[in-house]
Amino acid sequence: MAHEASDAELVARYRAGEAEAFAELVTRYASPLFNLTHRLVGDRAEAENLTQETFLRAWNALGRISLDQPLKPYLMRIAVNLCRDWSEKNKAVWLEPLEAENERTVPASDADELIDDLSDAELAERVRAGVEELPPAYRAVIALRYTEELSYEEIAMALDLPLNTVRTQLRRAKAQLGELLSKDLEVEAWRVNS
Amino acid sequence: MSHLSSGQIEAAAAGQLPPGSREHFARCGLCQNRVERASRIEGALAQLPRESASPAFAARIISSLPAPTPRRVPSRPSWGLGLAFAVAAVLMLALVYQTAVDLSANGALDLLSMYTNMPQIVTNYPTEAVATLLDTVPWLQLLITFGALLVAVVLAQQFLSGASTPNGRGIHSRT
Repeated sequence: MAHEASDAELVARYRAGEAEAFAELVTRYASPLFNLTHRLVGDRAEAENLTQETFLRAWNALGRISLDQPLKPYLMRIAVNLCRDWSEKNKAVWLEPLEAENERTVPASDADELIDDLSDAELAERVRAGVEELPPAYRAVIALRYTEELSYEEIAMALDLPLNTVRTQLRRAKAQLGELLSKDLEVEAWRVNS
Repeated sequence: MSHLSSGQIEAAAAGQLPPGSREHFARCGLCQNRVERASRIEGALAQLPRESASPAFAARIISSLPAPTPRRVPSRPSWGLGLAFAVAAVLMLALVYQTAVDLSANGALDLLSMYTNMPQIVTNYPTEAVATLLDTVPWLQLLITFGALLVAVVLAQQFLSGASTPNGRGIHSRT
């Protein structure tokens, strides 16, 4: 089996003058970066532009980055920053103001049973739709964790946040997602019953 | 005893029920349902669709990048060039030595010394002083020596820097 070059090997080869090494990095990360930017900005054409810009910035910076650091979170960070700038330029709210952190006991809700009645396929579809409604910052942390399967440490690198903040944001993102699911189901149940 | 907090439910859904909550969890159907629900949502999140870029997308990105700066690859030094430099250097040194000997034998150095010690000769008889000095200088030999020096310098420069050519490799060109 042919040995697949690691990211660090490709960067080293690119620095040694092998331009094709960067092309291989582009092929490797074009889809993951596009997936992330599309999830954050919601527009396919804009996501392609932002992904292209991500690679251009990485291309300009490849001579300086440390080979000890993983490349994927580094690329993700560039993409997230570009998406954040795009959001601010388009007056989209990146993240709603954070409430004081409170570990609270979750009150019971009738909607919880409605969630339980959903099939796995229905739940998957509702979760997908619910994620689209989250603020971009929550979508980012969910995409990095569940779609790109980054570790908490890698997400912290990608978002330039402390590790505990990443855990908190992920927890809040899922809590807000649960509330969205419950609210939608309650509204639907009310419509059916009225 | 109070029910599990949101953080504890999340931990339990990930298979890490906090030790202090186990007794309550074992007896509380509500918390068990919540953990089960959280686990299902975790599973649904893991199934989030991945948007794939079009197949030509990567190629378009690559073609949009600036062309890489050609890297000059110095060739290995030519040992023939080195040998030629060594020969030229020896010849030049020999010529310099011989020229110095001839200048002394012809009296040029003595004349220069005399003119230095008795500058009135030059000021009183400038034309004769200069003409006499010029007669003692082996001009042809001096020219050949200077030429040999130039050749040695050029050969040394070529040997040390080496001939270099651009590598000319690029993955794409801007259209």
